Amino acid sequence: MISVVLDVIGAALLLVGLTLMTISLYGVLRLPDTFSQLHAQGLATGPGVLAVLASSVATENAAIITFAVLAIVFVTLTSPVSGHAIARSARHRGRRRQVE
Amino acid sequence: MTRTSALMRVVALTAIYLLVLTSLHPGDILTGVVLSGIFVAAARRIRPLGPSPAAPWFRRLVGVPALVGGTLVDVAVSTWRTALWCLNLRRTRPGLVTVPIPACGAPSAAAWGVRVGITPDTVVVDLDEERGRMLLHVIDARDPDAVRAEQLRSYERRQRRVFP
Amino acid sequence: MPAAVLIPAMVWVTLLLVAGGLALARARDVHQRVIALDVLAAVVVALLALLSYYWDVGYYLDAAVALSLLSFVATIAAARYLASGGPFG
Repeated sequence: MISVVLDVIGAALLLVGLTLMTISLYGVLRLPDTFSQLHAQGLATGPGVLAVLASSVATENAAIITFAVLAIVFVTLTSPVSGHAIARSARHRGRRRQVE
Repeated sequence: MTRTSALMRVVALTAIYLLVLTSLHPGDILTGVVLSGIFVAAARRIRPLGPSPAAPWFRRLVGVPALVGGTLVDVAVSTWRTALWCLNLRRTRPGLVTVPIPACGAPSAAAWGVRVGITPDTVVVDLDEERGRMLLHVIDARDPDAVRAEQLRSYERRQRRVFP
Repeated sequence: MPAAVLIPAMVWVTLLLVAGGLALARARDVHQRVIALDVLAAVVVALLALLSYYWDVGYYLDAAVALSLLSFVATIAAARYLASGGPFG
């Protein structure tokens, strides 16, 4: 019973995560400027990956879930920082172009 | 850095080490404690990271569930908004907005950055914790005052008790 | 998790990998290329997680964690390089 419920939750999280990644890639392909693409990228590297990793509860394997939790913590801390780094360097570059 | 915070760092690093190994053998625990002790001692010499918030730690610990849960709600709402925006179902004009934040130390500034940056509809472009300014790129910049009010409100409700 | 869910999911992620390659090829400047590489790293992490669920072993996730940390460091280095002309400057 519990394993069926976990399977349904895991499949739903997987569907959400993959849908978010698809939307994000569509956005990266379609949007013209760097800052708009950053929002689309944040969709995949933040919530998309987190949902796919969270669907590990359905495996009921302690080793996999432990590692997925570790990966979730790392991704939560690193994905905002990499987005910020790209945004800052894009802004610096835009300013330098304006000065020249 | 006080002795308790150094001890907490050693415990946290050891916990990560044991999670990576997924084992609880006494030898592994000993190796983890020694390794993280060396790391913490070496990191002290490199650069001090400013004082941690002054509030007592148990009161800050009480606020952690609200911080994590509230951030999850924020992420869900903004993911929905950004997905609609990416699919061109909701046309808004993206732009830069300056948000005034209360002046704070390095740990609180890091909490601001991660909490705001993990939501896909806001990207932190610049954060100056000493002057208390944060430059955001948002997907809907038609009403900057609404963006400022929303950020400050979610700070009051989620972050303030843990990272004032 | 049942294989009936995991196999289509893996096929989907593989198609996303192809789309990510397309985004990489279509990028107009260096920042857009870095963004596309970041998204590609996220897709590969998801693929490794799915492989780990399918074979029911943990060590694919080791590779996923290592890859996500590596892509983080690579993005930071590239961004610093582009902003200031040197990875440490």
